[in-house]
Amino acid sequence: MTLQGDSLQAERLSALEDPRDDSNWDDVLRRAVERPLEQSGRFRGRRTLLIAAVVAVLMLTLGVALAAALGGFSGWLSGKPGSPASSTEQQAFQRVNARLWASFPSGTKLRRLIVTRRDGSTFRLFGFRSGDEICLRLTVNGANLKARMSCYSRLQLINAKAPAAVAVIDIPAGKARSVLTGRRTGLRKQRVRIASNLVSYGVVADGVSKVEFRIRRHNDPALVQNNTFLLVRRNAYSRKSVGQTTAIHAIDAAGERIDIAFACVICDPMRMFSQGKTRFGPTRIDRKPPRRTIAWLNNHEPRGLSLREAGITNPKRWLEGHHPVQFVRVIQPDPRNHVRVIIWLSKLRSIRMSKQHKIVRSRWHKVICTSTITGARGGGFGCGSGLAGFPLAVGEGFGSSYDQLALISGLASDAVFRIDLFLNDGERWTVPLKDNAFATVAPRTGFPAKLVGYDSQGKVVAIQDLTAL
Amino acid sequence: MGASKREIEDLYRRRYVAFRNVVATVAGGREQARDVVQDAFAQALRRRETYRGAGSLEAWVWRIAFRIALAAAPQDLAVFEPSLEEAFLEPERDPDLVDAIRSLPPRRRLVVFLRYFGDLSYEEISEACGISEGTVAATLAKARADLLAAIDREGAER
Repeated sequence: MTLQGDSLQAERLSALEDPRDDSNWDDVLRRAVERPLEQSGRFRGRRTLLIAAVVAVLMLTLGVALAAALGGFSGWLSGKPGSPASSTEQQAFQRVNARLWASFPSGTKLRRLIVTRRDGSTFRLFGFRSGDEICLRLTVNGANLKARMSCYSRLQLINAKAPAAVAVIDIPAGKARSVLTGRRTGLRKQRVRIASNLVSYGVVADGVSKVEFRIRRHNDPALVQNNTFLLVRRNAYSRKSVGQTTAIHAIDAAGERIDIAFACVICDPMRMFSQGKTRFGPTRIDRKPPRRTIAWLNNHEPRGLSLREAGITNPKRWLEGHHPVQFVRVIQPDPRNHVRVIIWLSKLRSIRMSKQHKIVRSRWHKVICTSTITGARGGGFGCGSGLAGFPLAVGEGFGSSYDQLALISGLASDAVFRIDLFLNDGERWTVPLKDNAFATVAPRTGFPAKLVGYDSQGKVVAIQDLTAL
Repeated sequence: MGASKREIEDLYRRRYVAFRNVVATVAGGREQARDVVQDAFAQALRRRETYRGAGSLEAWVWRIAFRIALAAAPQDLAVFEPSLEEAFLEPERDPDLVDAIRSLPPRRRLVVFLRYFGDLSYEEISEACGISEGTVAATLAKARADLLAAIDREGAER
């Protein structure tokens, strides 16, 4: 055995290398933000106090520069906007949270951000940080819409290019009132009940003093407090008469107006059909994966949690109402995000009917079903014949037309080692993936987007375009 | 001068595995190495404005990574002994080569890892380790000769 030169040495050495790619850019971003605070734990006593004092002074003097470096959302990323919620508000949240199938940690503390009254309803906007999530919770008294939750990923705010991020836009809320319809069109007049108000809310960077909504050639100012904005306006039966939000502007202390992007499904419903593909990310598959299966699921390995361990009670009515459950597990793709994916093996009966409507053939197919559960929404599910044809199966949708934050989740086959999300603004995020389940939340303004699956060698094995708004 | 966030991210995505594998020999384990590499890139992100562009961005991050890896065991990189147990995924696949590398002095061993695992140029190795390019070339030449001799010797004995 002889080494003949540099190239052969390189070849033999590289054969001994560990080729696994367990990189995680999101984790680097997280550390880049958090580590200065964590490192203070290394020091003790007076030194800690001295360093804390120096850091505090530096934070004050360099606040603007630091906020810019963090995308402007340092209030949300490392601070505590607003004031603590009252004990009644906190207890109400804890009661709701305890009932969720995908709940937040029991010690999660709610912060009160904005409270306002309009048309007989009280709108309260709360917020909290949990793991890598920054969540807003809107509650409305005396209304059909009791509460709504929206969670940003920390990554979105770190990488934000604009000083405001919209969570929800023009959602009907508030006390129901009766309106008369059909007057202008000459159709039969009738009374219908609609929510009195339309509500929009989101977060703003530290330097933002105003947020204005452009509606029917007028600027409607939102309430801006505690790094958050809230706009409550009057609703009408006809969207035409109430007016659409056509632009949103954030205004800083110097009076500069900055355009804030948002995706308005209601403004342009056809857009979801006319979208192209994102121009970012790979366009070709490097290698077709040999097997498109999930081995642990087929072998009934107890990955993740059982339904009981996950605190999911009375699941039979929900799960078996659709398909018989043969094996079920609950996976949390990212330990720093509360979203959970329920995966279960089931079977689906396909039948063939005769012309006389009699069953002539009946067969059972093995299927994999998934459902993504969040604190904000949940319960939708999808079933398919394993992963036949698709190493990546996106099983969950994108939320309601009012939501500006899209939930992307699903299953990846064993061939997929890493998943990256390419957004249309050039951002590239690594999607949390564990035990073949993945889930992430991304801004709708980043769509059309693309999910790309890589194998352990870094080769592209799957590309899934996400064109829906 | 400074480095952009995008440049650092690109470097991370292209070179993460190389960083982890080489740092594992210094940090004493793959898990520790992963932690070091994550911290090194996080630090590079935070301090990207201080990158003056005198050498390559990659060499600058390598220096950060080595500094973090050695922080726990304050030793000079030049005399630090890389851990062979952590260097190879399956040493039994090429025992002759593994034994030959084991017989190298620590500094030569580290330069070999940087050259072959890290795929660094002579210039980048010199920047990362703080030694001259001539020293890198000489060290690698000696390392190659040592490896050839060791492997030939073992091959002849079998």
